[in-house]
Amino acid sequence: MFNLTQQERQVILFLIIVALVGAGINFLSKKYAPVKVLGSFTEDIGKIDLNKADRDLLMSIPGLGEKLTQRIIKYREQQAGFKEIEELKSIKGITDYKYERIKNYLILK
Amino acid sequence: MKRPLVSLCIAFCLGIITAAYLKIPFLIFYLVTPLFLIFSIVFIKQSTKFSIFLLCAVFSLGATLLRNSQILPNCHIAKLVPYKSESSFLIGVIDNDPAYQDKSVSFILKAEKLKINETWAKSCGRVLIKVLGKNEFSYGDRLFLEGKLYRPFSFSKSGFNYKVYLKHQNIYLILSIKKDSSMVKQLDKNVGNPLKSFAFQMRHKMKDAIVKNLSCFSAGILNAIILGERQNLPPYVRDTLVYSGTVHIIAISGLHLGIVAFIILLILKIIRIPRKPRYILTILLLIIYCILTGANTPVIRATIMAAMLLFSYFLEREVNIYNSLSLAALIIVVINPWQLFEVSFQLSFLSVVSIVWLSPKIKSLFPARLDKIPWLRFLISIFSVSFSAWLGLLPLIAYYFRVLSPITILANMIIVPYMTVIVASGFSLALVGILIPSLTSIFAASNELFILILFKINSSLIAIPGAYFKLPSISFMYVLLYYILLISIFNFSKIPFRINCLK
Repeated sequence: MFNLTQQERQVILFLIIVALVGAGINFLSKKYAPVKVLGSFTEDIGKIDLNKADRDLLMSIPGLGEKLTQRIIKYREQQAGFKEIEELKSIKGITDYKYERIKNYLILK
Repeated sequence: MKRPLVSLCIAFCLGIITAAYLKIPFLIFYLVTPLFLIFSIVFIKQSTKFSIFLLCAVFSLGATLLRNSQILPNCHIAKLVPYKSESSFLIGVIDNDPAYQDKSVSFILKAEKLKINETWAKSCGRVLIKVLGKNEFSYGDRLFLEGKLYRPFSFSKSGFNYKVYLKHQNIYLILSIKKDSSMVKQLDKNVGNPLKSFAFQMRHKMKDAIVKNLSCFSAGILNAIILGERQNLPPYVRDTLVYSGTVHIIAISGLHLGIVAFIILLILKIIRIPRKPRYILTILLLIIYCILTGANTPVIRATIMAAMLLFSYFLEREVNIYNSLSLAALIIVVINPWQLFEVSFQLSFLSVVSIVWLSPKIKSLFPARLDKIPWLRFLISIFSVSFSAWLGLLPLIAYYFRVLSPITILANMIIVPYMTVIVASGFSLALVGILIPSLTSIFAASNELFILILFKINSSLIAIPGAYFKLPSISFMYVLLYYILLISIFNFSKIPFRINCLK
């Protein structure tokens, strides 16, 4: 298929290895760099972990005020965490309409 | 195989597409790639096996790089800022040439520090800044900013999604600053890349020479054609160019770069620079021109291809256009794999592929005896180029812009050769404006005339009945079907082409 000389093949392989090692180092530096992170944001950019987020972080979601946030935290403590995001519907004050508004901001890790 | 880079480029791009649509984690792709590499090394002396494993390795490398680009570092500003942010404080360096509009200015800021809950955190990532009111900014300024940080909205306008567009440029946040200069403080100057600073200074000088000497209408068009700056281009001019299928003339591309390279080579020849240093100097000047025009995908593609061509002259070796095109594509997608999904990337590469692949075949359909008449040969050549570009881009333009313009073939046959005059005279005006300002009035008058003629030609062409049709939105499946049909007709049919393809 590829009509390449031995030397050309070695050069291509070397370049791929360099790119791969570079991608690995880049991945590790992104994943484990010790930086002060606000709350528990996940890799899924900007989504908030429903089981880990603190009061302020939950309140940063459009549609969630102080009272609802307190109820969510209380429910989370009582039930030892959410198993599904849909459980939010069982909290007083979270109507179907409100649930549809906030569910896209949340994630369960 | 004379074009090994083509297969490698296709494999790499397929890897990117696969990773974009299949939710396979980074580590899986990352661990699979070395396996294929080991097999490639084991079978390095067996051509077929080596090629298959190499293609697999390149495929998974493409997927790995796309997945890696989706992972943001912990210090990334998009991970530090909640959805609803009140006033945020940010320190960073301007990373592009600020774009001024009537009452606002926008630029990209490389974030350095972010204030969260009374503590400053070291941060990274790019933020789009929009400042209302009249402020002066330049590339390389380090700024202290206070404003409201928010995530871009996902609104779509005829298939264009603003949030996705910004994401492809690695921008996840916008900082909006209202009219109050106390919210913006300059902490430092000229902390950017010196080459970029120099290119942007040249751009401003050229723009000044154009704006000071031409009417608003002509300056808007010439700035778009020469510098790729489209903020002041009248919207109806842009629309008429879209309808005639010649909107590519206001996007810096291979056509512009070819003319610029020709002018540079000519000037260097006149001042008696020896042949080999002339090529190297031209490559350097083309790189500066690429940065000066904003380094968009089409101009990067054209610069890499031109550099390869000039370098081959320097080494006195032959260059294969498919290889140089593939190398350009590989460089662009390795740096930012999301570019593959950008309209400008697709149109730019597909137009060159169409011209290089189809135009010799279309040209060969004309009787050989016509080639002996010089003017007819020229006419057949430009028709073949224009028709092949139209054939190659037709479904993509219908898909993205919802327009079908049969007039494009004729419009490009007239306007593309005419662009040589406009680009050459526009450059002369900009350079004379910088070097000998007293001579600019003569150049300005001729530029006004040339631009007026361009606009008149374009307006007359789209006034022809049936010049263009507006289309409803079409499915991407039709686009794919069209290309399968096109490849079948030109590659596998029994049409008696005199030559197979460009070697």
